[in-house]
Amino acid sequence: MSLTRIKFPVLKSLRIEQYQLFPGKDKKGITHTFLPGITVIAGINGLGKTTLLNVMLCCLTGTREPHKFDPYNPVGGVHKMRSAHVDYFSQRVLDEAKNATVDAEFYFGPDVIRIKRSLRDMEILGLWKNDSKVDGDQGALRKAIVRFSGAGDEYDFFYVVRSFTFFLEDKVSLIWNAQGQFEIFRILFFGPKQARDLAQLADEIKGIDSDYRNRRVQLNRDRQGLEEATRATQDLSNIERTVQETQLASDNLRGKLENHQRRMEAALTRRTELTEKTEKIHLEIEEVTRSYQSHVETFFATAFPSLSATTQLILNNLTSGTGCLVCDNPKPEYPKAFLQRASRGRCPFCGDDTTKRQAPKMDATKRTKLRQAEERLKQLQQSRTVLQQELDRAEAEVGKLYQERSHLSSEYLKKKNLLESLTAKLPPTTEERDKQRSEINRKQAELDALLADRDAKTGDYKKKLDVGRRTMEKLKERLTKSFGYYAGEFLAESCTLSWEPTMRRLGQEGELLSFPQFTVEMTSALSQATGSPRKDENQVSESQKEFIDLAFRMALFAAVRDEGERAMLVIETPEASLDAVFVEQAGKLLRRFALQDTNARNVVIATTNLNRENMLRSLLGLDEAGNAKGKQEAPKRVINLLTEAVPNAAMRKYRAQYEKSFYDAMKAKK
Amino acid sequence: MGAAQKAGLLPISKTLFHRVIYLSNCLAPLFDTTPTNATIVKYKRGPFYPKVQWYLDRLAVLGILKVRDLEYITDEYGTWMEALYFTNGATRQVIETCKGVQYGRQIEEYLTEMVFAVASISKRTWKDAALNDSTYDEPGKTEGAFIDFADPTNNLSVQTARAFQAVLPKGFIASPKEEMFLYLRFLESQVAGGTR
Repeated sequence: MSLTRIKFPVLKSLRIEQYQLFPGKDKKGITHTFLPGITVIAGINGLGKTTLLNVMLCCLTGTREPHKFDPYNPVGGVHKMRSAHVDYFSQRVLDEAKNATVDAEFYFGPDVIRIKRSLRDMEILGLWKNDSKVDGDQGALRKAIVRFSGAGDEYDFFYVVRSFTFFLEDKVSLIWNAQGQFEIFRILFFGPKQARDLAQLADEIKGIDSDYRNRRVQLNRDRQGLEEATRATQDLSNIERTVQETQLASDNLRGKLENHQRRMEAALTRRTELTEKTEKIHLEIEEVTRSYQSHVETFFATAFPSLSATTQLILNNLTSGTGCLVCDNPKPEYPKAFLQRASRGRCPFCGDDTTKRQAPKMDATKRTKLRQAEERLKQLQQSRTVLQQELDRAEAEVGKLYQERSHLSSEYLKKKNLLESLTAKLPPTTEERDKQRSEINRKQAELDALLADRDAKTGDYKKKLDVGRRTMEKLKERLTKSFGYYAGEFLAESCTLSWEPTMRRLGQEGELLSFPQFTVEMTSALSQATGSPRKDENQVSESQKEFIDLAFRMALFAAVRDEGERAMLVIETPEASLDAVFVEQAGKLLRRFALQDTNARNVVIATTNLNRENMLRSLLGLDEAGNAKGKQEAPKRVINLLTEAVPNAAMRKYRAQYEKSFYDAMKAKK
Repeated sequence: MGAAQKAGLLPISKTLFHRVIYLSNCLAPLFDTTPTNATIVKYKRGPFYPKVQWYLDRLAVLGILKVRDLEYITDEYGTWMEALYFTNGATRQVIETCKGVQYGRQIEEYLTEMVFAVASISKRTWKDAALNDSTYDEPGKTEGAFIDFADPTNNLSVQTARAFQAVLPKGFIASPKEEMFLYLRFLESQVAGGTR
């Protein structure tokens, strides 16, 4: 009887249509039926090998993945799925893959499940089980696929496909990563519901653990604060006295500022009043001046009718005593002299007797008006002088007050800030401290409850773990034997599996639990007889690291399923980490898995780069003696991206060389 | 005077000159410029600055400006001097010198915008535009009132200019220049509407 209820998906056929990256050799897309055994996806860099593998993967899982999924820390997040990279395929092509589809058939145990998806957004366009259409919305169809696989939930199905069936470059290592290994054990050996419960329980315990630690930090801070406050009450009187003094000084300054504000308002009002008066007296002077000037101007215009406007301006302003427009002197000497000279028929500027001229006449009325205007001007000018002096004083007062206010404000702010900082330092009152203490006690009780909950759940987890462990015990022998079988094909050194449960916590704190785990022991030049433990991937070479992990997966497949049950491994460029001399062994290892049980009809799909032609030959067993059938079937076992994919720049330039490489690699006899 | 020359306002009468100066003081905050004088007495002959007149005449006597048609008139408000002022080569030289410093450049730029805004409205409304200004013509402000618009809350002209934003099409943000032109259009319509 099979040790797991999981039905591993095995690809039966694949059809990709209207996807611009894979037009196909006949422009009808890629269609391929997978024979039991090896299928190779051959190509060069940039032709879409990885994209094709992802089409196969996402046909099963869609674009959903676990929250915070990280292949190197597979259980770092929680066991919940979310939608991601919906446009992974559409963004690679110009038409956004609007009509592109993938239509694939998979064996899930004895059943054939057909899934058709849009490559635009990976929506499920159709789902069939043994040719019977399954109806439902996207959620229901996703759940149906998970149900067909026997997995407990979408997360577990994703993990089986992404981390077990598919062996991609960014994968979870199942032998070198203890948590990654336990994750696959949980899914394979605990039954769908128990596996799901165990994952949920682990998430809960981790959540409680994190919550507990965060709250404890806060609680410790509160406790420390209370202790400091209690200590501070001892020199409370000192602080209180300083606060009182500062408060007094601050109040005093505020009073001064308020008083100052009143003075400032009065000074500003006074200045405005004086400005108004000054401006008004300027206007009145202007009016009287112009009246005076109009009388004088008539008089001069008669004596000197051709005077320019500029000269008239000078003369009128000098005679009216407004000032000298030439030098800006506001009080020119002898303003009347100009008028007197002119009235006597003399030049007002030089006094020359211009007897030939008609002396202008100025009647008594005009003289009276002039005298009155002159008197009024004199009064106004005196008032203006007084007002201007007052205005200057008011301006000076406002300036002084501004300076004082700036100084006072600065002093007040300093005191206010000091007072605030001192008040903040004041310890809480006894009543407040009691309240804090009671709050701390309440939080402590909550923490205790959290801790009890975490421990109870950990106990529950431990019990569930023990049930699974019993299944693992049964597996131990079969797995170790199978591992030896596959590892022996690839490794020159003797490599065995060792059952070595590890102790670790689910969260950062809490009880240490014993998790089932297999580790590797391997001989070396220095320990040829007995192997030494290799717990870390850094203790083996790069190629050993990859192929030991691969051998472990093959062994796990072989150990958990019954004879006749199918399995599939999808491997991305197995030769990537290999020295040339190991290529042959790698090919043999994969062929051994694919062909070791003729009833099982295992499928191995591997991509390979044509630059490493040995890998292609090795995978297809073209140099293997007595493999006539395999050699005959070889063309059916290859998806040749040189002809199926849209050519890139390298392909367009070196097509002939690449095609020759492929032809040479596929020759029956090298 | 330089801006008035560019905008075709010359020769400019003494009365119009003072009124343009008043509007430039009032609307200066639109361009983040400080007015040279934020107070004025509401005068029977419209906005008038005695000190400005003194310096205007001095510039004429010093030959930096030209003056002509000087005359003294007597009307219902009393006796008043009128004259026309215009620029000459010396004016332009002085303006260029002023533009050599940043403050001078800023003032020149602002005054040019201002005078062009005045020039953009109908010629027959130039003189009376300032009399309809929102601050000068505020209800309750009678002749002899002292107007102090240093505090933005008292500057109704700028507030009115900015209020046009509310009636502009959605998404259109008026620049200071556009606000000023809109305000002058408003004053033009006030004059044309015979509100004064």
